[in-house]
Amino acid sequence: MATYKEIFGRKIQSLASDPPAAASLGQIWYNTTSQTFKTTEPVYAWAAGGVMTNSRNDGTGSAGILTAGFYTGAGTSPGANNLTEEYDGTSWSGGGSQNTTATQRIGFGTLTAGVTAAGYEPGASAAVEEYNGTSWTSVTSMPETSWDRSGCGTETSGLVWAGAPFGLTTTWEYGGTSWTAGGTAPAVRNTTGNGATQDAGFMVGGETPSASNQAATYNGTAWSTVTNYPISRAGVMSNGPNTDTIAAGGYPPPASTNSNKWDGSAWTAASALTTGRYDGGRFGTGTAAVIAGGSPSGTFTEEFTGTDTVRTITTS
Amino acid sequence: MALIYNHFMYGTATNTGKGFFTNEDRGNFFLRGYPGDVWVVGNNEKGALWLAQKNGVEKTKAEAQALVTTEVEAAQAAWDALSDEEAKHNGRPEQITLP
Repeated sequence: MATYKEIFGRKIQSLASDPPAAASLGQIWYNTTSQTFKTTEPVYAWAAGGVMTNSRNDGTGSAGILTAGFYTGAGTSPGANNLTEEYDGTSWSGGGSQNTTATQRIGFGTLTAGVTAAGYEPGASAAVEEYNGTSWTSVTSMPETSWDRSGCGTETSGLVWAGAPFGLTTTWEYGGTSWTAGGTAPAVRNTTGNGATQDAGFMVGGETPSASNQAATYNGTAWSTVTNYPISRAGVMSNGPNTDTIAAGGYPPPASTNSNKWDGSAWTAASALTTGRYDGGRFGTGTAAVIAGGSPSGTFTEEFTGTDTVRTITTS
Repeated sequence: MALIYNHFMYGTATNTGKGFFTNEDRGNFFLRGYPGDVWVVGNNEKGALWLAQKNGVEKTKAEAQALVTTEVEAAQAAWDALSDEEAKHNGRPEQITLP
């Protein structure tokens, strides 16, 4: 059997003290003081982000990345609004107001090429709007009225599926100017969905009307179920592509702090949210995600990020 | 007489946004936030230091629970005042029991 030195050309370093975490990511060394093998790896957790100006619940009109995202519409407990707030990775600031005032809209895209669709005004809506980072423009409506839908993708390769009223199983693909029908979606409502493009959608949980643990992915043609989410929850907020998803929160009450990571084939428990919530805004990736607001009515933001951390290697 | 170890501290503190609790804090102590700016903090040195550094006001569990209950009851009253149309799209806030 080859030795470590034969493979890598040198022995593991022996150090009296640990090197800085920022300079030792992925390295292994022997700490002669503690007499332990050590390594540095990113440790992910939910940490505090900026506090929104407006309390928002019952809405997921959000999209973007951790350093450039938006959250628009949703309820202000009670009632809907058309206000947008933009996030820069540190704080929230006011953006353009939507033309539609509604809760339970779905958002996808980016801060400067964002889309919101459907919603409840009251009354089911088919309205669609695009955001350029400054103002909203009403564009081609969805083919059906609905709310509490899931969505993902970009302004020119978007996907909206499932939702309310209960039993809605349609999937709609958005190409930037028009909507075309896709495969039949699972009959759930009230889960954000996530995914990079319209041929890589992903969804977790939702109402059936009881809370579900179903997870499913879309390949551009059809939905197929994957390994169930570890717990049954609706109102789950999920981020990232369908091969690297971080999902968190949900209900039934009390609002959940539960969070789990999906790597494309299996779920593992992740750091819990600090504040339990559901039906909030979400955007980002599987390793740099944002969850904001949600029910119970809130203004708090939490960011899922990793910090390089020195850890002791143990064997069992 | 046996000593009873309290696993959690209770306090109020205003979330000031980014940096209020960090990734590192999450690894150092248990932390949960509740309505009324109530925080449940792991009862260790780093947890206590965090609450102090955030200008937190320590509460007994009963005091903290009362603050949360008051907030939830206010939210329930607001929900009860909604029209049926509005209410059916928002679940009634439920009481929260602190750990």
